[in-house]
This record gives sequence, C-alpha cells and structure tokens, in this order.
Amino acid sequence: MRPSLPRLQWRLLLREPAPRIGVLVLLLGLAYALVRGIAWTAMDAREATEAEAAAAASLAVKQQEVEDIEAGRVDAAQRPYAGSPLDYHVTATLPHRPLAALAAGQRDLSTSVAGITLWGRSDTVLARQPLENPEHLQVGRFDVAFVVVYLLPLLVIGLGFDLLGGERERGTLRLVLAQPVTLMRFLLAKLVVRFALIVGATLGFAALALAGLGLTAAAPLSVWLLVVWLYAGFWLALTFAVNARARGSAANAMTLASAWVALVLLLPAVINVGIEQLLPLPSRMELVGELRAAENRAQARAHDHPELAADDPFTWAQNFYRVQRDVERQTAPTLAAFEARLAMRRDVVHAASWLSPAVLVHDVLTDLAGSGVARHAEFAAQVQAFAADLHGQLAPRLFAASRLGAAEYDTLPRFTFVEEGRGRLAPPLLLLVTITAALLLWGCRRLRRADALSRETE
Amino acid sequence: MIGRVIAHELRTASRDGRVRGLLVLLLAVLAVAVLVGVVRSSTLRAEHTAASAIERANWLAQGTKNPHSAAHYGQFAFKPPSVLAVFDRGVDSYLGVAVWLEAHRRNSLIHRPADDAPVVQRFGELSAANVLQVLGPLLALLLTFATVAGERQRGTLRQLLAQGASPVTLLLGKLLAALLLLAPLLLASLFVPAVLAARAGNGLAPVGLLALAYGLYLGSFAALGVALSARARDPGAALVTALGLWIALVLVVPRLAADLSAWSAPTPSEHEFSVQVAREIKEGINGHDPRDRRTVALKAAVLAQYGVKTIEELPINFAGLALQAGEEYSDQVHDRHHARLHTIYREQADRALAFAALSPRLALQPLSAALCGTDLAAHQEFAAAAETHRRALVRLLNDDVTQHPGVAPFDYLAEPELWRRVAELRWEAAQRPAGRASPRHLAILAGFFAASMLLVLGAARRLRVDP
Repeated sequence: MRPSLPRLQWRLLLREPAPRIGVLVLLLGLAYALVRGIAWTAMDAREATEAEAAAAASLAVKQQEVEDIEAGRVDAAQRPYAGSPLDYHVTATLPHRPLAALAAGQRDLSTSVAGITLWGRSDTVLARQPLENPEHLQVGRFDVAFVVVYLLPLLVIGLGFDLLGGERERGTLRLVLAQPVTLMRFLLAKLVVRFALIVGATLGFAALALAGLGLTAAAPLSVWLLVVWLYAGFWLALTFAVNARARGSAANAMTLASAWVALVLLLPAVINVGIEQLLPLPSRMELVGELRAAENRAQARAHDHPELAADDPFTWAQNFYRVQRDVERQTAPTLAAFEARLAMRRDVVHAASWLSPAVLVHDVLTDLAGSGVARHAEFAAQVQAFAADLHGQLAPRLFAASRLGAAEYDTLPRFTFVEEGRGRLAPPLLLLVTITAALLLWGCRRLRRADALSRETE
Repeated sequence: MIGRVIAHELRTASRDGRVRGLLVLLLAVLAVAVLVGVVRSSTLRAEHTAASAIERANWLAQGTKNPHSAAHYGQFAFKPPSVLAVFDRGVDSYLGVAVWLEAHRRNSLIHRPADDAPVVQRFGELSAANVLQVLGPLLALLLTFATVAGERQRGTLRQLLAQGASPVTLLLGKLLAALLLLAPLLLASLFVPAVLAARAGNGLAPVGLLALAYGLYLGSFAALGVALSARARDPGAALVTALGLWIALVLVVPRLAADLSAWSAPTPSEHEFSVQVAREIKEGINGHDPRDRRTVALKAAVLAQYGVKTIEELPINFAGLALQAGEEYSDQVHDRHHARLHTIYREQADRALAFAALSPRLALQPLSAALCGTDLAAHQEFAAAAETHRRALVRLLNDDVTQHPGVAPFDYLAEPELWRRVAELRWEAAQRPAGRASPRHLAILAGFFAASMLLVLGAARRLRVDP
C-alpha cells in the first residue's frame, strides 16, 4: 500500500490541468530568459573583445612609432611623444563565468571594462557606465534568476496551497484517512510528488541550458540545480507547514501569498531603506568639490615651482602627472572613507540577506553567474591594484624622461582578472536546509497531533 | 439603494480583521515611504546647495592661467532634486547627479545613486509610488475578490437580491465601497507631496493628475476583482485567480515588456558608442574630412579674411579660433550620437507601452515619473541645459584666447577677473511639470478602467445567484 501512495498522488497531480499549465509557464519563462541571457552575454563578450582589440591596436601603433625611431626611419624630434610612459594603456575586462547568461546581477549597472593609463586617477578609472536604458535598469532584467527567485515560489504555492483543504471540503479526506494511512504520511506523499515535478521541470531546463551554454557549464549547473531545489524545497516546506495548520484552502492561499509578498517584495525594500538610513554615505556631490579644490591646490603648487617647468614634452607630462598624484594624495582619506562605508554596507546587506531566502538565493545565483556585487567589487579592487602597480613601474621612467623601448611594449604588464576563492556557498545553503527542515518538522508534529486527535474522536 | 449596499459593505469590511490589518499595514508602509522620501529629498537638496557653493568657490579660486586650461578644468553642474521626488523617484536612482562641463567633451552625468545603493535595491525601492503601483493593486484585489463569491457561498446573495437590489446596483455598490477603502492610500501618499508642491509654488496640477492616474489604476484592479468575484466558482477560486492576475499584470508583464523592447531595439554598447564619436571627430562625420585637413582649411580661410600671409601677422590668436572650430565640429558629432541614443530609448519606451493593453502599470509608471519630474525626459532636459551652458562657457574662454594674440598661443595667462565673468548654471526643473503628462498614458489608464467597468457590468448581467 505504502509505496503506491506517491505513485497514486503523482497520477492525481498530473490529471489536473493547473499543474501542467504552471510547469509549462515556468519552463517557457526559463527558456525565454535563457535565450535572452545567451544573447546579452554574447553582446557583452563582443564588447569586451572589441574594447581589448581596440586597445591592442592602439598600443601596436605606439610601439610602431618607437620602432620607427629606433630603426632610424623617423627623426625622434618629429615624434616628441613617442614612447611616453604616460601613454601606455591597458584595458581591463571582467570575464564571463560559464553561467553568466543565468543572472544579469550587477552587470547591466557596474562597468566590466576599465581603461587604465598613467593619465587616469583612481577616482575615474572605473567611471565608465554601460549605456543601458535607465528605465530598464529600474525594471530589472527578465533573467533566469528572476524567474527562479520570483516565479518559482509562486508555482510551488500554486501546487501546494490546497494539499488538504480541497480534500476536506469535498469530503474525500475522510475516505483517505479510513485507510491505514496517517495524515502526515498522506501529506508528505503529496509533498514529495510536487517536489518531484519541480525537480523534473528544472532538470529539463538544465538540459536545455547545458545545450545552450556548452559543457563547461555542467559542473556549475549542477550546483545551480542544487540551489534551485533547496529554494523550491524551502517554499514547499512552507506550504506544508501552512497546510498543517488545517485552515481552508483560501486561507492557506492568503497566508502563503502574504509570506511571498513579505519575503520577496517587502523585506528587501525594508533592508534597503534601513541600510540607507542607518549607514548613510557621505555626499558624492561634495566629494566632487573636494577633488576639484585639491586640483586647484595642486596646480597652484606646481605653479609656485617654476624651476620644474621647462620646454620639453616630458616636463609637461611630469607636471601633469605630479598634479594628478597630488590630488590623489589629498583626497585619499575621503575616498578611503567612501570605500570603507561601501564595504561595510555590502557586509550588512550580506548579513541582512539571511532574513529573506529570496534575497539569499538571488545573491547565490548571481554569485554563481559571476555577476554578483562581490565579484564586481573584486574586479574594481584588482583594477585599482593593477593601476597602482603600473604607476609604480612607469612613474620612475616618466620622471627620468626615459622613453619606452619598442621591445618593452611586449613585456609591460597586461591585466588578467584572478578569480577569488569562493567559500560563501555553503553557509547560505545550510541555512536554507535548516529552515526547510524546521518547517517540515513543525508541520509533522502538528499533523501527528491532529491525527491522534481525529482518531480518538472517531 | 446603492447607498445601503455601500454602507453594508463598509460595515462588513470594518468587522473583518484581515481587511483592517492589511489597510493599516499598507498605510504604515506608505507613511514610511513618504517619510523616507522627504528625508532623502531634504538631504539631497542640502548636498546640492553645498556642492554648488563649493563648485563656485573652486571655479573662482583658479588664479591666473590660460583660458584653455580653465576650459579643461571646466565646471561641474549638479542636478537639483525635483520636489515631487518624495513621491516617486522614477529613474533618478539610475541616472547621475553631477556632470563635468569641460572642453572638447560632452560627458554624461556621473554618480548614480544606484552605483552606491545596497544591492537589494534591485528588488525595488521603497517609494510611495512603488508601493501604490505594486501593493495597491494587491489590496484592491484582496478587498474585492470575496465580495460576490463570498455572499453567494453563504447564500446571502439571494437575500440581497430579494430585497430589491438589482445586480448592477449591487456590484457597483461593492466596487464603490472598495474604492472608498482605497482612497485613504492616495490621501496618505499624496498629501505631503501636495503640501510640498504648493509651498514650492509649482501648483497642484501635477498632484491632481497623479491622484487621477493612480485612482484609475487602483479602480481598474478593484473593478477586475469585483468582476472575477462575480464569475468565480467560490471565493477560493476567486482569490487564486486574483493573485495570478496580480503577479502577471504588476510584476511579470512590465519586466517582459521592457526586455522585449530592448530585444527589438537594442541599445548600443558603450564601447561602440564612444569609438564612433571619437572616430567621427577625428576623421570627419563623413569619414573623409580629417581633423588636420579641417584645420588647414580654417587657416587658409582666416588668412584670406584678414588679408595676411602668416599666422603671426594675424591681429588675433589663431589658436582660439581653431579651438572653437574644433569644439563646434565635435558638438555636431555629439549631438548626432546623443540624438541617436535618445531615439533608441524613446523607441524602447514606445514599444514597451504597446504592452500597456496587458498591464496598466506600463502606462502608469512612466506617467507618474513624468509628473514628478523624475523620468528620463526630465533628466535629458537638465543634461541639455548643462550642455548649452558648457558650450557657452567654452566659447567665452576660446574667444578670450582669440582676442589675445601673442608669440606662443598658450603662453597668455588670463586674470581671475575672467572667471568671474563666467556664470554658473542655474536650472530649476521646468515650471509646469504637469505639461509633461502624456495624454496617451492617461488615455490608456482611462481605457483600462473603462474596460474593467464593462467587465463588471457584463458580470452583473449574468450574475449567478446560487453557488
């Protein structure tokens, strides 16, 4: 009898049109988001390649200029700026990870291309902005992460809000319980069947994604599946617990919908407001004023030292460079304060995300896709560190008025993003497992008590 | 009769703890949202005033330098916050607040609040407009889903009709009662903005239009709720349908519409855009008019105009003229490409609006931001004003170079007196933001409301009395 209970429930589930339509809609949403994701990652990758190619071509031109002088084809006086250390530049790009197409994350907002030269300053090196339509930034992308975080719970709720209420209202529950089956087992069988449906649907999608993204995505996709199943499991456990309270199906739907609104819509907004109010950022507009005041002071200082001025092109470059470093030195404490505050806010958001499984899972999914806020912050840090190194290497050459040799262009540093070790996956998933288990246990105890009561009264 | 239906409905609602709880919760969320908006707005305004003062002081503190160096130093202009941003922040979070007005370049605005915002912001901001747009319809549907189906299930529907209420009166009464319950939401979220707008002397027309737009929006959902309640098998079915409708109309369709519009009218990449601008400035808009040849032509023309043979003989400084000519040429290029980008954005907005027949939020969202002066158009107005200012600033400084002929073009140093002659950008959001209300968006909302009312009337005509 017992093994056939899930099978029976499976058949019952598939007989209804609603679950079939729900799963179909979910799969359509996922497939659409996947196709779009593949399209925009391809566009992104093309932009990165083009930016890198353009930078390489312009460096090759500079190298050729020096080569011409070295070979005596051109007089050095004709190209006073050839080989200037100030003109060496590197284009840094943040590469895609295999699952990039599955979550847009911060990719549409933060830059993933940065131009690094000695001309630049630390406050402008990451100032490039994608041209994305701001209205689209506001609405957010229709990506796979959106479908999973927002819509998958709704399918789970739709499949599960009426586990008992309907049977009770139609009077079939009494028939079921007349069999040698406990209420808990009956409900758990229904739960398992629904979970199996979602596992099946997401496996189908994963196969599609594997075909679209290539085999490199296989390993991360299995982690992705695990996260999605845990998330679906959490919502199923919640519907189970709500069902165990033995209210009507309409009341269940209301409770579950409220939980969804609270966890997916309200809580993130509240966290956002809380952080903005409690950890306010200093004014960016006043930072602009500070930077410009520093520039005025630095220029006045340079002006006060006419002995530094001379007529060769290197002197102009040295003066310019000196002013920029002076500005950086003066404003470093303020910029560091901004960075510290932003890092603190990131930490608090990360901690607060534990309040809502939706935020938590969204975080994990964007991290898996490599478009999360942590990876973008890491990219920014690596770009700044690379720029600092480049300054350290080339500034002495600038002040020694020494041109770069043609062969040297090939040995100068190029930027490669180094993936940081990610050990942040386990704690959030453990939390999800714990909450899910707690909800299931609570529901089971409740049902067992109800079962005992009803059998006593029989 | 309809009065009795309304009174009955309101009495029932006031006894229902769930309805009371939801209303109070939503009102509290709205109050917090408005409060946060007010705090934020006043902080921004203070920052704006302070930054503008610092900027002016910096500009004046430049000391003696060549005017072209001053043009490279340039000015910064800061976008002032709009008064009604307390109600709707629109796309302001995703647009910069400061723009560097310097020689040769048309910069876009930097320091977008979203760059610094906690990452959870992408789930949605807490603004009164957002709460009304997202949770307002949910409340409207929750207030109405059981109105008819519940009475039918309890058997009181037959009783009511037996007392002489026509189905139309009954349904309209229930709808009006729901609207009366929803009215406090509008009041709670628009009262403070109205006071602020009146104090700022902007007139109340935009707030009135906001009330109308949001009234039509919430009214549509209340009417939909009543209609589906009248058609539903039982309250449970009505609730599930209502929730599904809410998710689809409020959350899914708008995102999908934005995505489809970006798909069909793609935004160029930043790299492609800046490369094209740089190339056209260097090689000419048609690709056959390189910068050095343009300078040679200008030189010949100027020499001919003054009837001299060499630049040294000119009574003016040729460098100033060349700078200004280069500036005007690159302005043309910038204008072309920015216009092209704006056309794409507009095209995307139009395509997204085509889906408004499916979701009224697609019409309400841009309309609300436009009325509050926080939409893309308002931003572009400021950016255009800043660009006009930049051009005047650079022209004035170039003219000063031109008027000072000398041995070497950039050895001439201007006195700080010159900086004082350059004004700062003064810009207040257009005085009649109500003028920006697009009748098209309002018409879509009215159409949606009318269609929902027709559904109610249709449901009344075929009202089933028994479960």
